[in-house]
Amino acid sequence: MARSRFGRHKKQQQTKVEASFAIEIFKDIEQNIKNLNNMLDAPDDLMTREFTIGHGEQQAAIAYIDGLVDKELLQNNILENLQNLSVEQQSEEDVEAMFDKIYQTFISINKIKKGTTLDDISNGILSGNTVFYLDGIDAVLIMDIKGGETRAIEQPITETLIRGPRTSFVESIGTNISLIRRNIRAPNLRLKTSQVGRRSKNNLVLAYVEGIVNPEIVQEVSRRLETIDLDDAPESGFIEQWIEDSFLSPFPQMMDTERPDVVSSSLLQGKVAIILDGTPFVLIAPTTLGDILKSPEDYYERWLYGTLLRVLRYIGAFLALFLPAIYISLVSFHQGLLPSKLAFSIAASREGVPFPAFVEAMLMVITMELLQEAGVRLPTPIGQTIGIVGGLVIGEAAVQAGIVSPVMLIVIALTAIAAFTTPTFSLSISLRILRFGFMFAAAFLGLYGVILVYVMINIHLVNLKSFGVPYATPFAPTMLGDMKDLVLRAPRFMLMKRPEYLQTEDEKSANKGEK
Amino acid sequence: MNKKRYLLLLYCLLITMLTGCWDNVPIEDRGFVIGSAIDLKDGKVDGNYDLTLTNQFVVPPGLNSPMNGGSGGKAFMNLSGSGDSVFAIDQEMASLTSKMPFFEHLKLLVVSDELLETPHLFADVLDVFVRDKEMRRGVKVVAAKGEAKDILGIQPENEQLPAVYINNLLEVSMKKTNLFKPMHVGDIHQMLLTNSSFIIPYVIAAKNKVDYKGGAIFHGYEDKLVGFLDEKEMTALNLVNGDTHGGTITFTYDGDLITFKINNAKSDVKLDTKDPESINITVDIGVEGGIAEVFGNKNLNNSQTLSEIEKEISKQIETMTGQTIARTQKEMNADIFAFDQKLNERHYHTWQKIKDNWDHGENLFAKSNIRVNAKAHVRTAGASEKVEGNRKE
Repeated sequence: MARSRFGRHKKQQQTKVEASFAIEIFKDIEQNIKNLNNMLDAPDDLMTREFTIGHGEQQAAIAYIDGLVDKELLQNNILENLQNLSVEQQSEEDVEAMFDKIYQTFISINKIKKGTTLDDISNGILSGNTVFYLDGIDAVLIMDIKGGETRAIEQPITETLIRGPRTSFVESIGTNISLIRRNIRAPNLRLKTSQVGRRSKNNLVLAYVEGIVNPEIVQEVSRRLETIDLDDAPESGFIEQWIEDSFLSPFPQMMDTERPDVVSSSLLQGKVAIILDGTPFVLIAPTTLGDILKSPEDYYERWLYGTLLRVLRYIGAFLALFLPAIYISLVSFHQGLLPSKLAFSIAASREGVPFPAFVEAMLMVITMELLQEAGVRLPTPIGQTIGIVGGLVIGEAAVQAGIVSPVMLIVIALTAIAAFTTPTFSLSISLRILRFGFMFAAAFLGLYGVILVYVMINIHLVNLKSFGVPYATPFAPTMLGDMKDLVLRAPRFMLMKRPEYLQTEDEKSANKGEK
Repeated sequence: MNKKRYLLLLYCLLITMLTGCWDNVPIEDRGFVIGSAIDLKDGKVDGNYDLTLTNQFVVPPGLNSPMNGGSGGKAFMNLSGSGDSVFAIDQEMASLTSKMPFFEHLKLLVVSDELLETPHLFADVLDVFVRDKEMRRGVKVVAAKGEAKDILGIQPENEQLPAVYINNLLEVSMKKTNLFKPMHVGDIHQMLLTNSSFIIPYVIAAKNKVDYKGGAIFHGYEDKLVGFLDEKEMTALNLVNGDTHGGTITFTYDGDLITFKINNAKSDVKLDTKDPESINITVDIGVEGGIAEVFGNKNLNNSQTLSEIEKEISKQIETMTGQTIARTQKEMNADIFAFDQKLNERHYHTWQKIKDNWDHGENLFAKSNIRVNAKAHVRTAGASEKVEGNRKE
């Protein structure tokens, strides 16, 4: 309901914006430049340079925003060419001929087009193009010489691997697409560009490989992308939250990655990637629970190692989710389930601890979350200090002071470490959220409560869908073919097919090496 | 509509918040009982036996753990109480400690021989150990000579808890020497239900250890203790039952002492029920093992000697088991070899006819002919041929 109300409000504004700037371009160059200045309120970084062409008095001008264009290109390929122009003229036809000639010949820029409205000009200038005015012509040339400072390609920060490509996406969409292109040379890699952000006008590219991807998925993703109507989309998270299936679910329904190799392999599996300008995080849809627990390294290493890593990761996810809850329920309800010696030593270590196990666990879990958050916010060198101070000093001191028991400390430390084994950060966040739910259930009802919450989460999981693909597949709608690459990673020669659950057009992804 | 939904949510929350946490007892408030001992205090008073129950509580801070460095206190605490009902004494005991008695870690139940000798009392006492939900069927049962609570009062040197000491003794050391097989509450329950006879390990308390005295024979029909087996007879019993993975047989061969270590034994019981009045039972025992010790300087590494030794071992086993079987037939009239079970399994109709006259009535068990054939196989004569050279004669 809230969304539609917002939508109506927006529509009215939009018409207003369009009405004020759909102005024709005049023939008088002075008037044109004045109009442009008026529209943008003559900011400091708007550069307008007026000059005469050749040896005559033919007035011309260029306009661009400082910092968005490649100045070297501007100087060498545009200004120099224009200023050295020697054209004898003076009738009106001559001016038009000259304009065409400049358009055809003199400007050695690949991407160039004509614009006829003030709106074209402002769009062009604001997205980093340069506009060329010629006096006496009611049109302009919009030349794409985007440039300016960008970040160089670096190593991925959030998804590091031991073995695998070391490239990571950057903020510039052109670079990002080129990184994907370098991995997929297939001619039917489709990149559909659109713009999001009513005011930011960010480029958004929907990438997929035609002939592999199920067209219904592309259709659904495009449909949802078209509904986006935001002021601004600085991060792909905005897009994700707008088009996801269930906003109440704790689970991420799209994968985000900064690794080009992950994107290209997902595209070749039959998925769709959403690339947004201005962020290194690319969205991949649809996604299942099994997919988020996969790391590209599982495939880069030999299958035994890959399988070991997978199993470890599943154990890690299990521990991150359940360990504190299981500890609470064993210690406060089901002491009979513990081995006798362990029960006695836990009882001994809890002697003198003033809080019940649940409060103790909450205290430590919250401390851990605080440390984690503090470590993220602080600059890297100080962040490490926080880790040492928090982990060692607080933990040790808390045990010495008798506030928590040493066993609790082990449980929490193990939980924290296990949570870091999840390859996707967004999933590790959902595990952290759900952990609290399990801890509450354990405090109230013991293992019975833990099982109840587990059942609830399972019910939610089998109901959840990501762009029409059941989230719990291949577990819940069981796809035996996909089980080979789930908890275990089968040897390479057994993984000949694309995921069944994506219902791709081309099922086989490899062939046995027959000559 | 929305309001109703919120109310429903509120009720759900209230249900959990207000009633939640029942059964929640923090681990440090539990009084872990790891051993119980039951003695017969007096004979019948007002129609009921007067019992003494001793529970061994763990005192966790007294256990040496690396964190608290061992506070030097005792790791356990024995509390005794008297009364008619075991459960009532347990309840009473809760008022004696600051903690709630908790039986899920109970490891050991010690019963005095006096109590076992009283007909039907053992089964009555065992009821609470089978019925109560906190009780585990894996609790081991031992019979004690004299006062049962003395067993829980010993001060073992290598363990801090007497009950754990005896528990481990039954599990580990007996696995090697095969003297007694631990008897669990669950096993005994099953035996009592079918009125079968069985053996309970029989121990006596010494200052810092328990002494193993053999096995106490509990007669299933008479429902009381009827006699004891010594250690050698226990080995024989285990050989007949065929569940032996240890134990030794010592004998003299050619004037020298030789010890044979049993590694594995199998037994096969054949029942001939043509004449129900006198059933022929043949037990074939196959034993495998090695020579563990040889006195003298014989070289055993030739097949002739080895086969002679094998024959000698077989003879030893046959005598040993024959004597034991004869004793159980004549003196105790208790079928501890589970022949009754095998009859029930293999000769059901015959068994139905004779089951009321097996170890009571006409005493068909005592009248049956039991033959033992043993076949020993020496797998290895050890790592060395001999220790010294030729001896001066």
